[in-house]
Amino acid sequence: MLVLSRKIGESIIVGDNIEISIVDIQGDNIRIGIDAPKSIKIFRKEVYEDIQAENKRASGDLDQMKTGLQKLKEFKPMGNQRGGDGHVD
Amino acid sequence: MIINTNVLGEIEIDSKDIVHFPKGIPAFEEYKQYVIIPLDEKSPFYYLQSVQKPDLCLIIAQPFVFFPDYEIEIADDELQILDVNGEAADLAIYLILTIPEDFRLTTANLLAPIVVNPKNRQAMQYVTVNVKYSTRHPIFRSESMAAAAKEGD
Repeated sequence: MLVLSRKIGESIIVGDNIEISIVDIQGDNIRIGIDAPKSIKIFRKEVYEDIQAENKRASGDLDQMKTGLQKLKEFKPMGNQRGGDGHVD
Repeated sequence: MIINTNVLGEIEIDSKDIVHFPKGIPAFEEYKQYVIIPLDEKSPFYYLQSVQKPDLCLIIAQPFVFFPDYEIEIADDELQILDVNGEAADLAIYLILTIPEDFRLTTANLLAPIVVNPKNRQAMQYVTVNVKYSTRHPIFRSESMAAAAKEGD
């Protein structure tokens, strides 16, 4: 792994078209600016780890899944059947 | 061909029905071939069963039954991975469900849906950039669950 030091306002070039700059530092919080083509997927590592963990959880207990699915199929919730509107409160 | 599965036992599938995930799905990156099997006719639920790994099965659901306002935007470059030539609207979208012991607390992963191009059966688990979505949204509203619980299951 390459490790290098940068000050606020300085940046790093990765490949031909990615620029990562240090926008601000407040204590142990570092704000990073990334200029990259849209085709480059960028997200916090926790996001990918979260998805991995959820996929494992979702496929973790097949017996529970089978039983739950059967109940889910027959379940008629009172009133509004749908879940939330997709927003996180 | 016949494949062995933990959830459905031995099932016969047509190799034409195999859905290909070139990058696998997170946590199971090495498995790239799946079949999507409806729970039954008209059901919004499906099994996403690995062709290679008998004990790898996920439950997926059509999003709009549970989340009518659900929307995702897929970047053009991502569409190219699926080899989409026509309209993105032709894509099939599914949400992975996590079914806990109390099935009424089932959650759906709105952050990263399964996206399938039905024409060539190329698929991926797409990570949306929409910050309002998470990996665990309850599919039932809490008041309807409470009402059902009062009914005594």
